[in-house]
Amino acid sequence: MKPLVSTFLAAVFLFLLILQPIPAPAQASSPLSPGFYVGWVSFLGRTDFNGNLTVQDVYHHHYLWTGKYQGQGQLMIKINDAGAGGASIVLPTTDSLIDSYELNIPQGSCLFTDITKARSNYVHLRDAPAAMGDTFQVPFKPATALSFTYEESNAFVIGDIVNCDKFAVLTLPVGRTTIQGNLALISAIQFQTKYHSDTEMGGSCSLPGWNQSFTFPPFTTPNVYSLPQCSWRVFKSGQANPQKGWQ
Amino acid sequence: MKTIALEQTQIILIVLLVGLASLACALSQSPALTGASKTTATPQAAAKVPAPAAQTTASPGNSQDEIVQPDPLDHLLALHSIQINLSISRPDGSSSSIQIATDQTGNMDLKFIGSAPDASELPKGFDLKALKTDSELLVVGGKAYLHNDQDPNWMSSPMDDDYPQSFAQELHGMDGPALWLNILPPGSIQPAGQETVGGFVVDKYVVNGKVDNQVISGSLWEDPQTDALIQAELHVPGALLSDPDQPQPGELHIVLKAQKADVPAITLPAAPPATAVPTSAP
Repeated sequence: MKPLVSTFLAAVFLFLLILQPIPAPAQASSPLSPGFYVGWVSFLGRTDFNGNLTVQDVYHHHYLWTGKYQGQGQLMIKINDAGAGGASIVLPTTDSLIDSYELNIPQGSCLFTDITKARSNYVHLRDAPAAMGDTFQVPFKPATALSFTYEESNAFVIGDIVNCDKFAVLTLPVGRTTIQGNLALISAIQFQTKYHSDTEMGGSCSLPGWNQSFTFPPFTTPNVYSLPQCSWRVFKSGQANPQKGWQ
Repeated sequence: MKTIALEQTQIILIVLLVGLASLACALSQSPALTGASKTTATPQAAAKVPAPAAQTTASPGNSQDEIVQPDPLDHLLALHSIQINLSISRPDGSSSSIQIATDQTGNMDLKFIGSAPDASELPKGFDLKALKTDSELLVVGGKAYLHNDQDPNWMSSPMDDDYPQSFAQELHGMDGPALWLNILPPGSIQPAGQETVGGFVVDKYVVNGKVDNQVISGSLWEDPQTDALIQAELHVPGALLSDPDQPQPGELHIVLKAQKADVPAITLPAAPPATAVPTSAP
């Protein structure tokens, strides 16, 4: 029955993981060069949990959950002479979650890994013109355009433990739920302008409500939501194509 | 030696776990709990408006939105009886490719090949051979179905109801040629005669333009009849994919090749018969 404890803890962990509040984003403004800009936005969001649990010095459980949420897309910005404007994004996101569980007992070990991949093609066209400045944001809700593209379970047994593979298959749907829940934390992408000129501008970006770290008993190690990379850069649109072309 | 089995009680708990997760997910998306606003625009609705081979739609008369009107890449994706290969190698050394076959009715067979994940992020003991790095999508009637060896009913549930739209959006990102051609200054694309490539008589253009002192170079070939981009080869400096104060070395290399082809009709395989449910006599 002892392995059941860890299963229950995993459920509690998942519940906490999904129910994080979304703080309201902020806005700021400063003069930017008028024009129409096209460029890119790129981010990598991660969730990392590495937890160990030993029960009665016999049952050793090891959880390793790694989520990667990677967006790479097109960003378009318009600034008018009054300094107002707006931003549009076409931002596909690829998502992957690797959930690994390892049980070590004197009779052997059961290691299984569930891999779930998904992608989201999110589009936001510019709203009514608003003040544009050092900080601006657009809606970004990748959970609303999500489709799952890959699911695989992989079990590895040493010794006399049976049903390890069944356990792996049965927990596979958790990956979908976790990805859906994690992406639901994101409702906007916020842009910080770090540099701008007459021909380009760019800077960093953030996903309000994403970065966090929390622990849940009996684990002492945190589950960490981080954004190791989020940047953007746009260039004034050209008129290069001699055909009907790209404009 | 005593055998340890993960048995029925544990399976029940697993089911409970999944149920709990689903419940948590549903709750987390409730505006009352998350504080999410209902007043924001509905971009998905905008994205789903059908437009002929366009990546998305836009309001008329708005210069910003002109960029999202159909471009030669969209026109290529609208062609039927064609094979397309898009290969990308990125400054970080990763690569990917997409092979697209479109039959005469517009149904598509897409094969995605990507780089293997970083082995250091996989748990010790994981069987790397079990990890697929390719996937195949069948697009029939605009709906995309993911070929899945582990799910015999994969052809019964589409993963995307308007895949051509989604796919066009994806190809207009950093890995596609359109974004980079959009930002080139005037004079960067010069005519270079006519050629026959992939069964098309096309206009060739040489690409050579500077953006922030970085040279984007290459060639592109367009079909004057349909304004479709038939081939393209672009070299984009890695510096343009990074912050100017931290330019990354290397380049993004994009190769797009299309050719006319007699693609056999693309259809979904028949779904397996439903498992018979045994009935008991009264």
